[in-house]
Amino acid sequence: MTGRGVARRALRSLLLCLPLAAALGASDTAARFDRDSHQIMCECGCNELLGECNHMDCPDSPVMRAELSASLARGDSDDAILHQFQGQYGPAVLAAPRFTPFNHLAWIVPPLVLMLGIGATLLIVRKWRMVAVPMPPAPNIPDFSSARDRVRRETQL
Amino acid sequence: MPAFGSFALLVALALSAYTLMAGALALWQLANGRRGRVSPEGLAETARRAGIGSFLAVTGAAFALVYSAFANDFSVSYILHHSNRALPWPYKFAALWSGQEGSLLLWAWLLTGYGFVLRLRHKVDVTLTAYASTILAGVQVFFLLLLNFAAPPFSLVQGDVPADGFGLNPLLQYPEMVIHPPMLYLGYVGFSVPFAFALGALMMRYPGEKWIHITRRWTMVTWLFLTCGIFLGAHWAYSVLGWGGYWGWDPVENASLMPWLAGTAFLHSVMMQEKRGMMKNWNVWLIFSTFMLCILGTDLTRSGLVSSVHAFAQSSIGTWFTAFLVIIAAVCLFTFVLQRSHLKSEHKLESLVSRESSFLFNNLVLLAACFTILWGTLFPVISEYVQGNTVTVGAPFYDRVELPIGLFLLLLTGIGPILAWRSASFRSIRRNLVLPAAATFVTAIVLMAVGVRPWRDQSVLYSLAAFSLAAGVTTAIAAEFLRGANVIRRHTGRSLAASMVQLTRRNTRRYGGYIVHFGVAVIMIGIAGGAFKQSREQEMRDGQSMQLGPYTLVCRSFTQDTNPNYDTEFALLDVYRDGRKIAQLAPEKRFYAASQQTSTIVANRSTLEWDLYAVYAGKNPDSGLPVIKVFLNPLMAWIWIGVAIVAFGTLVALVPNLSASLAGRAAGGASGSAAVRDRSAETAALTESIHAVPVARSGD
Repeated sequence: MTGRGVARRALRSLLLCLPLAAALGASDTAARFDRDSHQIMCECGCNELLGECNHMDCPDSPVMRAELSASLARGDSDDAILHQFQGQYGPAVLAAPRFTPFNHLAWIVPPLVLMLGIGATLLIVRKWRMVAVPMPPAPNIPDFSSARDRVRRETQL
Repeated sequence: MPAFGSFALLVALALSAYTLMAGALALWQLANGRRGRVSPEGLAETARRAGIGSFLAVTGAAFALVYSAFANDFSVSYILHHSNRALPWPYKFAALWSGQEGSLLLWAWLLTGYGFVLRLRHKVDVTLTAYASTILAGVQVFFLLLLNFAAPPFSLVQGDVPADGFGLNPLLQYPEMVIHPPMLYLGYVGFSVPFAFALGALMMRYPGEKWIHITRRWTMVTWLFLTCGIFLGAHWAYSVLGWGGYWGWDPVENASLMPWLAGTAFLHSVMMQEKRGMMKNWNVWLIFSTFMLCILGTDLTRSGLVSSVHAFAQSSIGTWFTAFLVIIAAVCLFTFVLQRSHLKSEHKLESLVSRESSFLFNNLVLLAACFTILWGTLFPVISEYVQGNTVTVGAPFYDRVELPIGLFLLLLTGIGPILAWRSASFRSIRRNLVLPAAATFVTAIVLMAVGVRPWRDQSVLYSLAAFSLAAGVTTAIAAEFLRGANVIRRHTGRSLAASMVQLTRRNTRRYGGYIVHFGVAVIMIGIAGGAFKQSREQEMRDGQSMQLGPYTLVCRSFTQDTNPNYDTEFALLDVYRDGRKIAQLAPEKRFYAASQQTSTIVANRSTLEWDLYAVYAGKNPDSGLPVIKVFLNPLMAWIWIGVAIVAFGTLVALVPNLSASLAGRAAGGASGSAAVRDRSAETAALTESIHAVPVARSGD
């Protein structure tokens, strides 16, 4: 099989595995509750995620948790649940920006900047390497070569 | 005392302003060959002495504030709002930095303190120090203007003075809060010194790289303070806030991380300038940016532009910081444009596979991480402007975006040290990479074999990658130590351990750096453990038990206690493992009378394996039963151990090399014995033999 064929087969296997992995992860309601409650902010003003708000007398988190449990029991998807919370409490209830094209910018810009940075670095390195760099002459020591060989031998490099 | 404090602040402002103006005039005269009635040298000397005096004046003001706290002088508004009679004395001392005005006074005190040391050590390089001292005086003037006019710490209470104060925020009444803020501020403020030297060196077109040698220790000490400050804050959050975590990506936390990332990038890239005369433009802007990020972080959190759960988050002094930031940026840009011809690189990068390029990528990744945090912190503000509504950018965003960047950085931590300067041959890379790569893959396979399933959850995937890469990095570092130590062992016949110590002492910076990298790998292992966190919450009666992981917690009793400062409710929980009682935990809920606020004190049993972390969440209002929440946080102790290793490595890197100190002593002539001279020569030869190879460009 050619290298390209192997790569194609590997990619196909990977794509087949993805829905399987998603299905495995989605099947557990407790895990979904844990995951979704970490995507929503508690509304009491404590600035904590719903899943981590630990105020015993919190007026909001018990209500919000009950709503989340009810949504999960109805079989709503994660996106539907987050949409529902956003509609009810406003966009700031979501712990990370979602759903609008502008909000997607939040996710796109950092990796884009990193990629551009890597590209720019590679270009700079390439430009620098095109400039001939004069090598300094070897030191004029009579037994330099034997000393260098000894050092390499001793340092095993 | 308040009058004395206010007067001391005015004197400090006058002295700092004199240092700035007289210093600037003297340097202008020196640069242009002008002379006035007083010689420029004499004028510069008066400026230096005024700068020293400003430290004494600010010390007087800080003393006055602390004295007022200890004397329960509630006529001072700041003391009224941040202290009370029953407050234990360490927290009265900590009142100095517990509020906005006090923390600014601490900032000014540390700044003038750094300036004091710098001005005393002016003989290192009189002209360059004069430039740095003048620039530092400019920063001092800003903070003292704030303290005198925008946020005065000695404002008096209008009307009747209450008999007792409103108390310190309960969250701040924890031992770490006594040392965390000073550490953090020592870090923030400390970056002013390398910034002042860099800007001064650029202004005077300072020849060579001596300014880097002068500021190297300043920068490393500052970085160490900032590192310790950040992690002490994380440990405080872990111990007090009671949500089982240590980092919440709050804007105030982000504000401390941004200069740390930029400062770390500077510490790496400055080596390229020292060793190869490269990256001069980059380094100057890195240190400028680090300092500006310190100011920007303060601006963001104190202006109310972004909301934070931290104290003193919102106030009117943000405008001052914005104006100061604009001035700094303008001065830096103007100086850079004027003097940029002075910053030409002496060498170019010769190969993509070299130590230099690894530093380039390291810088790129660190700055990408820094930008991501800045972007995430500012995005709610941008969103409000563009969409008309604010959004939250919290932990899910940072976990998803920052973790891959962190893993990439960990990878570079392993690869960078095994690459040679200038150019590394593929043969040597292959030879040096075999062991670390094998360690990485073996760790991944073993972890998957014992049940780590990376395809089930993204956080588990990241954890697996972190564990594996940390193993690779540790192996690469160990191999570097062993290779060098073996050479010494063969030459001297000493044991391997003694040879390793000798090796480290001969190049403390290099091997101290490796220890720091090892510490970072250990921290990453601790962070990666978070993917396997478990928790359980339960109402518990006396005698009732709860199972979490291998532990059984049995509730023995609930009880109450009181002291003049607070009332407390706490649970006594016996912890059993395999049927044997191993510990008793006592999580608390405190109610502070003065501030009428509650606070949580977590009970934690920490082992290398995991932390058993218990929180007394309070009583269920319906059932009246106490609620206990317990977390099992795997590998948490590794984070704090890693930080200790990082601190140790930084301290090692600060120690002068053995060869340099021996050579210095041997050069002492008559006082140096022949034995010392022989040892010095031997050391120098050995050091050369150990370190010559990675520098060599070869097809070895």
